[in-house]
Amino acid sequence: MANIGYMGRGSPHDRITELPEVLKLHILSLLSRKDAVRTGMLSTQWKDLWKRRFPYQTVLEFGTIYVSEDVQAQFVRQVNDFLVHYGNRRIETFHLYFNPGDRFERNVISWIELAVLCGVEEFYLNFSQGLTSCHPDGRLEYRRRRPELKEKIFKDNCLTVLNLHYCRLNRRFRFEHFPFLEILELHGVNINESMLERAVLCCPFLSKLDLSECMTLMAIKISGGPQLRLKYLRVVRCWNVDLIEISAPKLEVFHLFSRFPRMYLLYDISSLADVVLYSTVEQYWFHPNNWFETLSTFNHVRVLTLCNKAIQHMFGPGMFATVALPSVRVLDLSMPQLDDHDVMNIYRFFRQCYLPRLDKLLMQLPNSQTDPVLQQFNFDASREDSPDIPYMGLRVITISSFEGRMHHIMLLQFLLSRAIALRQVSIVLPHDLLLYSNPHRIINAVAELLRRSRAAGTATNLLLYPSQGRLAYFPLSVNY
Amino acid sequence: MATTGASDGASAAKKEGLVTLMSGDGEIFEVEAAAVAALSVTIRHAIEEGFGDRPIPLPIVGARALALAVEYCRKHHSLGGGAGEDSAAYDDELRAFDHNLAKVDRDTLFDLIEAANYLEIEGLLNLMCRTVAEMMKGKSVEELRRTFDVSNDYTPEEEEEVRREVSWALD
Repeated sequence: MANIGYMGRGSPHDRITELPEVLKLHILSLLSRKDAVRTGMLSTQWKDLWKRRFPYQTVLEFGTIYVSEDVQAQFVRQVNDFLVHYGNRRIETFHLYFNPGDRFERNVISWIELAVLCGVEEFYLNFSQGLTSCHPDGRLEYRRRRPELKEKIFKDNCLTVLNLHYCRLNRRFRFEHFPFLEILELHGVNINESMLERAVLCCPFLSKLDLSECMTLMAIKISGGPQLRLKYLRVVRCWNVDLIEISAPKLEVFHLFSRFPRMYLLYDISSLADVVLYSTVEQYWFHPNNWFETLSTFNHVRVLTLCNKAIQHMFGPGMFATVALPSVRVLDLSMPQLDDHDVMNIYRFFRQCYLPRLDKLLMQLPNSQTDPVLQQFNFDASREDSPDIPYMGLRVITISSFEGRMHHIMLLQFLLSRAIALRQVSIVLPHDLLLYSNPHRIINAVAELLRRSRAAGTATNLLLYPSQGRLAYFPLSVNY
Repeated sequence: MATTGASDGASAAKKEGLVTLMSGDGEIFEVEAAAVAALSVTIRHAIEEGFGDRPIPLPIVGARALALAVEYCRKHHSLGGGAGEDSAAYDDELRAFDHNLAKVDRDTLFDLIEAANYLEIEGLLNLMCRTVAEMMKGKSVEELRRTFDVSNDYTPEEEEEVRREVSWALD
């Protein structure tokens, strides 16, 4: 064809933008959602054009609050009617919030099949309808069954996002039909170790994996070569996971809010930059584990969040080695509990972890009523120096829920004695502090500590904020 | 050229024979009326309005695009009976023809889109739009700008704002 001759329009010309709008919209309608959205960046004439590429709604949301079986039946009729009239037009995003029970499982399956047929790219299917068990265990109310999904209903899909809440995957579910899947989020789903391995193996574009309350999961094994694109892994309340094995060179974020596994096997994690290790249950920490060794693989981690139990686990039964965390800039210590042991563990942490780049320390304190509130502050000079703990280049300290309890003051005193390059100290007081303490006494005590700290005289700012829910606050006192 | 079976060309079928088309740059094309009328709504209407014995002026269609469009009509009329690509008759030969046609250079591609739009040849328009969409798939914004010579006229602030809104689609 190309031999017929070139019409000669001269220099390169932006032909695509010159097309009539209706044709541009037609072309956009042939693209995947992501490709279409991206065109908004091209030039001012393309801005927001993608939003109008379908003259009809392509984001379908269906859901209802559970009232009674009659209301369920009525809801099913409404959705059926809607979908009949919708015909086979394009669906981009399909949301469902509905528990079909035994009676309507067939209907729900047919909606999923229809959406797949209409090219759905994002599925958000929540089968709980709020009828969950009282425990965070991914189950529904007593006698309520989670619907079962077979893989064949997803055949030939264009899904990029699959978000499933409270359903079961058929035991033959092998993730063979998800060539475009980028985000997989499972909450209360019966996925097991081998299914998960299949998912990572079979979905070449998978970049985000989010697992919550998957009780059948005993181990998380993610291994892939350089072609594995996984960047984000979050594990929330998967209580039975006792082994986490990761070899994922592109993984940047790993957040664990769960029971800690006994063993971590981390091989290729050269991109890992943001780690959260947070245990949400009481668990015995005195059995042998390989936490300390694990920490030594966090060479490139820049943001590290640990809870008090994570620090406990690290040191386990007597660990006296030191470990370097050469890239950590931000350390977030979340202390849902703060007793003598926790304070000692924090000291230990700073003694045994080499943190040459640490810039910012965030600390969330508990309001443990057992810890006495500071009444009369006397600066204890003998505590000033802890020579075996190195000085830190830390510049910003933010402490939240600071109630001026004994342990709070101890920690602050410790930090101020070691941080020699401080620029700013922000202390957030709980808004109800006035009810049971004298904030001025606390403010004065903190100011006194700062005055005596090594950083005094440099440009240290003390900001005290009374917290009000999650709003921003004006400093109560800037001068000390 | 077989002209039977033009399902929606009842009036055109009566006017068997040739019709003259004149491209925007003045070139004259003698083509089978039945074939083009079956596929091009614009030409069908022109014939119905009595343009049958005079040249039909097509001011915005260039000669090269018109030649290709006419070839598309002939091929699809003779092989596909004018039916859409969903029909069973849309066989391998037509598929191969379309596939070849879609390989034209980029300027011709857009000439063809404009021509198909003006002549109202639905199949050709769809084919060419699909080709453009295919070229856009999976490309980054920069690659798209390069491929289609789109110049970025956003101010840095505007660009940042749009980037924020669509950031999820950028990686």
